[in-house]
Amino acid sequence: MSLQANLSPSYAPSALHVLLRKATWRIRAARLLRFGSTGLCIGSWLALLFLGAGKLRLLPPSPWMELGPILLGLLIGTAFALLPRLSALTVARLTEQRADLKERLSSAIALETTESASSSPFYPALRADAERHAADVNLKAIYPLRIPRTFWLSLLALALLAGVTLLPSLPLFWSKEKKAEMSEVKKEGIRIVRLAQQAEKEATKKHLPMTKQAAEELKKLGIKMREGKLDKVHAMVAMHKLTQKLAEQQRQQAAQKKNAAQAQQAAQQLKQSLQKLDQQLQQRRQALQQMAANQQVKPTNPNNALRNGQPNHQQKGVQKNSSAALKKNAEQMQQLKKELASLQKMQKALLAMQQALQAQNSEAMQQAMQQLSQLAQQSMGNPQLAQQMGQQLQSLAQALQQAGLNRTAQQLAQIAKMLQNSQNLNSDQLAFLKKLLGQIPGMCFGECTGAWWQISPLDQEALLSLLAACRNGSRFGIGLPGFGLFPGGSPSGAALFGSHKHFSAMKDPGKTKAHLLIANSKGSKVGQGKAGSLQEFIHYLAMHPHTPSHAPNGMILGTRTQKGNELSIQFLGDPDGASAATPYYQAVITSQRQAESVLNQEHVPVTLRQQVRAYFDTLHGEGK
Amino acid sequence: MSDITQQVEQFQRAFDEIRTEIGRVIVGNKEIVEGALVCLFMGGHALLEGVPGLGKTLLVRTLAETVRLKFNRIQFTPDLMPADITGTTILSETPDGKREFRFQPGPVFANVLLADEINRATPKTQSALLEAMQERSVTVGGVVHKLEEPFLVLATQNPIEMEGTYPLPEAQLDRFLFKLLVYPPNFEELSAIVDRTTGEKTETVRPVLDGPTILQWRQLARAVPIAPNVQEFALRLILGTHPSNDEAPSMVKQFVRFGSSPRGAQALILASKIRALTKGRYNVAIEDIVEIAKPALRHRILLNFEGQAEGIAPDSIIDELIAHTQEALKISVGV
Repeated sequence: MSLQANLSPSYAPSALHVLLRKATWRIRAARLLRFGSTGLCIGSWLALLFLGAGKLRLLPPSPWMELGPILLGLLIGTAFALLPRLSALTVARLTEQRADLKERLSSAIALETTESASSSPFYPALRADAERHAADVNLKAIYPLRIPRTFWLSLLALALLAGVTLLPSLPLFWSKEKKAEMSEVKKEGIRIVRLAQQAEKEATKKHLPMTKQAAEELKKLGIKMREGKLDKVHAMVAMHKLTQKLAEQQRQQAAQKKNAAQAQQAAQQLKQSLQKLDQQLQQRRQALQQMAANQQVKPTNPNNALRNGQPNHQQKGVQKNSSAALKKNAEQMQQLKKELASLQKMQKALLAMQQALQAQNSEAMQQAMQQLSQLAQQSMGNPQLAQQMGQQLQSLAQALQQAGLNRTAQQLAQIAKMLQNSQNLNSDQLAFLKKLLGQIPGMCFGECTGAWWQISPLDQEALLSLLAACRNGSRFGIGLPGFGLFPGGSPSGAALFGSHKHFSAMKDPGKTKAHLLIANSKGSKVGQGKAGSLQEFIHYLAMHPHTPSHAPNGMILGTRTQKGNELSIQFLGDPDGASAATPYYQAVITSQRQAESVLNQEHVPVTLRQQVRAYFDTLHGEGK
Repeated sequence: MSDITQQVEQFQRAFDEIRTEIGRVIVGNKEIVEGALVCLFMGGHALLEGVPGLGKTLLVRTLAETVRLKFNRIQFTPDLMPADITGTTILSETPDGKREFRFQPGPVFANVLLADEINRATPKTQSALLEAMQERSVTVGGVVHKLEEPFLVLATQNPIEMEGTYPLPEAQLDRFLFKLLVYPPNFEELSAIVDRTTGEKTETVRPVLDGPTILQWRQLARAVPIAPNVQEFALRLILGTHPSNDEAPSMVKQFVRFGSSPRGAQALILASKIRALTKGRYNVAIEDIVEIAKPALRHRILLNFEGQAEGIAPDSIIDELIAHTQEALKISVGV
């Protein structure tokens, strides 16, 4: 029987129930204090133990090794304190035991749900007696909330933990090397902040959003470095990540060049289509002029018929026919004029579209699409015009496909097809077509914005300048792929370990196992090095729980042989970790030329030349 | 003030009054007096065990005087016959000269009966009394004679002079609600006894209750509610007296041959209800059960040979049992 159940509407809140509710809360609070403190105590001492093991390299260092046990201990303690159900009867019994109430409370609670007992003449008196005694109970005295001893023990453990973790990071406890290192980081931070501020200012002035964003991020990092919030390793990692991010943006820009070329081709294609349209317009104009000329000649003088010797009634008939033909002619002219006007508008819209494609202006393109959409909707009543419109939209769809806007192109092609067959469509289909036409501009804009020209060429240049500036002055050798930290850059380890010097992995090669240096898989131990830089390397590796995807190129020096030769292992970093800025097809073409040159120099056996050529052809195909 | 509250207060007051009246004559032995009064109100019988000269007879007599009830005393001897207790049919002459058999009631026909040194009579005679105690009627010559209520037997026995005695069998002991142990007085009590009994003035008591009122309150006491957790405590206590019970404490398993019968549970709970009323409570508390446990159970726990050889007192077993049961039912929420 829970307390909640006892507090059902059939019983008004009484002193007894109020007491029991308060007592329940106090018991829970006391349990929380006790078990929470116990959990915290166990967790914090375990964390201290793990921290010690981490310091002794028995366990891989991780913030979760310290935080995890504490949080887990607290969680278990809290759950243990709060989860067990406390029934009203239990609370009543406990309370009366402590307050020496001679089972008055538990009898009242236990009997209130027992029908036979609660109908007993004694029950009201018993209940009143329990209420009276409940009102006099001092809960604070019987359930005191004392801070348990375990809490002080856990505080001690936490203080030790904080001391062990934080004290070495305080400048007071830094070694000479560490101080020098932090000073270097600080100087680098100041330089980066200055650089970023300049870049940000320029970007704001010239409206270069991407450069501005990159500068802001760089500035944040620089401020952290300047304020000594990051040590060298962490600064390097942060800069590595930022450089990677910027490199990604750079790669996007490189891809945009290709898109831009495609857009130009599409514009060209559209231009050709426009020229055809122009010819059609020309023909229409000539036809209109012809008709206008005919109209001026034919209806002028009815006497011509008399002069030709025709009878009167025949003259009347000719007159009648002539007026009907004139009327029809006038109608045709009117129709032609309308078509001509529509086609001119269409030409104008397509021209705007072509210009938008050429200028890579998504907004202008959206406006042009809007116009085309309206024209297409207007043309739906006129089969000839709809036919023309359909053809033009078909051309536009092809152009857009050329520009890489496949989704829009596909939709547009379908719409063009439907428009060409609009005379065969029923009213529902026409309504649907109209709806589709209305959706095209928005969809086109979305696709353009998502895939195309977000970054202006000016922004690209500014971003590249910022990266170059960042790279050139860096004390850590960070920068763009290919300039230090990444494969293909400076000699192994030079950028990573600072001071642009090769690291000497083994000062005591006889006692060090070379293979342990790169051991980073689960279960294997991180190797032991004696050089400070090597420790950093290990730290860097240990920061990644799994094999890092951007492992740098490197060389591990091994033990010397009896002849004095030093064995070494060279390893290459992950080539995918840092993509080059050079587009793939360019690289293939360059390599193909080199290969052709080699082939022409006849260094390759004649029998294998064809094979080598075929290989490069294959690559070229993939590159496309 | 409700009717029940008034009745409980009246009961409490009357109980205190009787106790005070008895206390004017009887020095000390408060537990004995209280036990005897509980038996009176509950309709049970008590066996008083103690050496001679401790005032057992005086206590019973005084009790009878305070409640305005008919009192009889039977001194049990080995040659006492059942008819000497229950009465017999005698041939008597009527006023018109005829002769007829007439039932002559024995001393058992009283409200308060003192069965002095009950263990000196033969089992046959003892059983005659015990039948009357249980059935509250006497059958003589095929005729059942009902005993007047309230009927209270207070039997005494001497624990030291065992020669030539017939100890009560277990089945008969079970019929007593309480077994009360009368202990010798301490210095103060003895001094008071001497003062009261060797002076010129002799203390007398005044009757404060009558039979019908006692019967009325007996009904009141039965209506006192008992919470399930309190009842559980009493029942666990009773079950714990059985050595075959898994939850029985080790002392019981080691020294006890037989535990209490269900009659022991009835005695425990009914007597606890009376005690609750005497304390002015409307519910039975575990404290009542604990207080009542020894007089209600000590004659129901039969020691085995080892227990007897070790000189284990049933009271110590009951103490162990109470502690064990309290521990088993203790509520712990970790604070």
